[in-house]
Amino acid sequence: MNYYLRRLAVAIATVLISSSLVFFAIRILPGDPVMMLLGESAATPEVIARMAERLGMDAPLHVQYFRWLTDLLQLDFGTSIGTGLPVANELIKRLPRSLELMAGGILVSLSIGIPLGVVAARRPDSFIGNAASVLALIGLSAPTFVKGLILIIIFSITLGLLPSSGFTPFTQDPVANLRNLILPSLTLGLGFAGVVQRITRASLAETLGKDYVRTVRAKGVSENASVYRHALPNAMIPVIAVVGIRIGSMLGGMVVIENLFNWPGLSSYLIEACYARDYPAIQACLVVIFFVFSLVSLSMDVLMGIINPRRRDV
Amino acid sequence: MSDSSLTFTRQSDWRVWFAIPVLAVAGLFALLGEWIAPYSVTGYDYTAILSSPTAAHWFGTDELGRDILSRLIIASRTSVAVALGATLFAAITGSLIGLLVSYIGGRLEAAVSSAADIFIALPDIFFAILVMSLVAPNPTILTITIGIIYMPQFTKIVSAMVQSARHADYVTAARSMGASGTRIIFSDILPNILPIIVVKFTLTISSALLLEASLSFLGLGAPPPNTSWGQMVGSLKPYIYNNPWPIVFPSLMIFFVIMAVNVLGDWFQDYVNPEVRR
Amino acid sequence: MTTASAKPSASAPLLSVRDLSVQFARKDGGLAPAVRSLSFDLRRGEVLALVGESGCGKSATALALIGLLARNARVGGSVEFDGRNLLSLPEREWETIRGRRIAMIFQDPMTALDPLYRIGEQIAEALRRHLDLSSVALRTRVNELLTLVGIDDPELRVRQFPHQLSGGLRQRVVIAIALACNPEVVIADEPTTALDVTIQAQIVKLLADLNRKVGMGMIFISHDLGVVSQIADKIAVMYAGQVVESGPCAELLRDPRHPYTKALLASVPNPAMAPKQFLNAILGTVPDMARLEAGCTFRNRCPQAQEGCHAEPGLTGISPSRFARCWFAETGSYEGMERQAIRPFS
Repeated sequence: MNYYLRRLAVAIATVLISSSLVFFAIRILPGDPVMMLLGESAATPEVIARMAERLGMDAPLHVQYFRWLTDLLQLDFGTSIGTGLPVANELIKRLPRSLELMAGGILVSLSIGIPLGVVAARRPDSFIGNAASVLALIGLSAPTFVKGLILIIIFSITLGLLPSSGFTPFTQDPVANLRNLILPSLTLGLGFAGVVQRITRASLAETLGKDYVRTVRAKGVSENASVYRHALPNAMIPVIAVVGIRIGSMLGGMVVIENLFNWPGLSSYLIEACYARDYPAIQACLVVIFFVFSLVSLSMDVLMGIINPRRRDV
Repeated sequence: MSDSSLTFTRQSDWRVWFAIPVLAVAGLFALLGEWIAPYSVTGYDYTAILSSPTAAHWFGTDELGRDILSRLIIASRTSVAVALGATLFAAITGSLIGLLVSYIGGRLEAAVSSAADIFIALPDIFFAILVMSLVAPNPTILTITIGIIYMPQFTKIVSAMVQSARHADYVTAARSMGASGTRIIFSDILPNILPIIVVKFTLTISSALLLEASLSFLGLGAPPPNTSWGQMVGSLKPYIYNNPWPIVFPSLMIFFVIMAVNVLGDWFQDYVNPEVRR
Repeated sequence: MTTASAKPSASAPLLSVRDLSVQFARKDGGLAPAVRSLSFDLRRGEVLALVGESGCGKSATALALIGLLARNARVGGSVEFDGRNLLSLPEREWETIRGRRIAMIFQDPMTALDPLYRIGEQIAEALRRHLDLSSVALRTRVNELLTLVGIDDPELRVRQFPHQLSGGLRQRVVIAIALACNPEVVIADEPTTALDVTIQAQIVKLLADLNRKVGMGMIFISHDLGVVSQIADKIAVMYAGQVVESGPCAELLRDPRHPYTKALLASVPNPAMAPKQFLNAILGTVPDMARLEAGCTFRNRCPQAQEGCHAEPGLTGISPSRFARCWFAETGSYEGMERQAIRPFS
């Protein structure tokens, strides 16, 4: 119990600190937000003052911070400069889409990474074992947008099989929604699949050498059954741990992917807000992203904690 | 007994043969830039827009008729310089801060360590996006931003190493011989930390290259007239349906260079690990 | 050869090993030998002990007999069981024999059980694999087995995970798994080495009782002559991948003929020794099997080594049931010694 409470506290602290960092960065860094929004030409003192007031940047720094913090705790994410509407509206609309993309990415990386890892661990010196590892390395090293572009070129342009952009809400048309999801998830998942493959291979190879696997074989159980019923479940534990730790890199990859495939999620909202210098939106978006990240990490930790006590002896 | 460090195993053979030429080419491009590029940066050729590879333009042309190969060569300077500069910045300042903080120890060290943890845990791209959208972008700012993002990792490594080295026997021995603090740091601790830092260095270059490319792709990197590989990919992206060929080359360039750095880093890791050497 | 309690002995041996050799292919293409030329018979109900230090090939022998050697192992010779040579069996057929007719008890109970499955389930796995039992019969059999190996309160233990049991209990579970399908041969590979001394005694007694009660043939592998003496009917002493001496337990221990056996016996700490007296360690180290020289393998450490030992001795028959691989096994001098053909003791 204590462990979980501590982790929760750390997670909350992380979100708060990083969000505050963002807050101060916006206001402290060179490049006056007000001026950037207005541009040089329209900058008469009155216009500047009014804009500053609109942004809430006319008050002293600590007052601004306090206001922002209290607003945040009441789930008020501010008003977008561009649209004049509450930022929260957009956030609510877009968050599920990013989560959907992430789910797709995780699914892809596990369904590709784990089998490739199993193959590489069971037949380490064979052609297929080495091929699996090399594939993983390529998936790991290739930059996200390179992978995305290659997939687009192959599947959209050359073969014309899958769409390269666009989005239909799931509630409206599930099939279309999933069709649009395929290429972005593949792109997101391939990189992570490389990570999963490597850790699966290492973990399974080690587990296959364990004594209890030998005991199982001595019972007359076939090699396949011993791998899938005994070795693999034990080997998966470190895999889950690593997935939990590295999930952050997947979030980072989403930024490029949402842009590349015009997937209207949180990250693309962030980028749009950056182009438009929509500071409240930028701020709120980052807070939510950090929050989602911490939540996922925390869940992974909890998951590990549940599975872990059994392994204390091995 | 033969010196096994000079005998590459079959696996490491391909790693070195692949990585070094790729990196050499990238380095050459970065250094020589305009001098070896067949066309100038602004050589617009409106008769050949978005063309596939031809004899005149080996890698094709972009949306403004510029030769892709030339732009690729010239863009190398920005990409390489930013990645290298950022990593050097991160390594040097990170290590120095790490040394300083762990030498002082106590609460300061704990605080810095926790702060570093938060930084390391969160994905790097978000801070970069934030900063680059706030300030007037230029290559120097980009370099320093990326450098700051990777700085905490070096701080943590150095800090941890100093901590463990502090209590190590060879430090006690040096102290008992009357060596001063700074002398201990530089002649005893540092040589032991160096291999780990070098490995981290290569990993960071790889991350920095990727980050710069992604930022430039999104339009948040160094603005024109500076070109970087990522920026080329970003500006060609709207035209892939017209002709996918031009975008392939800068993409592959980024891919190969990053892979080369990763592979070299892998090789170096195996090289310094006495158990893997045969 | 007879021991105090009459052992059932059919005329044909249960397991017949002839010239078993095991080598491991190295990454650089060479071969590392582990077992050079091993021959013995095992009769129904008999306990044969294979004794030797680490590196003499005992474990490789055990794994060869159950078909679980690593992929880079190269086996030679023959292992006759039920009219077939086990070494030439395809894997599919091995899977019908392993656990069903030949079973194995492993060395380290702390790591021999899958941490993710309950005890009952792990025993049941062996039963389900080979026998067609209803779930009720399955449960009964599992409880039976737990009681057989001396575990109290089987209802409770069945539902527990390995980490909830002590080392001794876990080893009993391993034994229960081995005995689940009533195998004809049980190979025990150093079953007590990883246990505390007091638990060791319990387990050895348990195995001896089980052998008497159930009547399976047992190959008991150990480096500990003391442990072995409590359970073995026959002993075969191994050195550098070969048998160097063999014979009935009591006789061999009373009257060892090979210098190595003598040295092993002499090195056992004896409470009757005077205080502060040095233990009798065997000088030298076990030879590197990859670089064996010609002649008797024990030559470099043998107090009796003489010129004639440059020639490799065969197994000399001292009596129909006693063999030793030494020029001095029978008489005490080199002259008049004829090389005997290698004959399996039985």
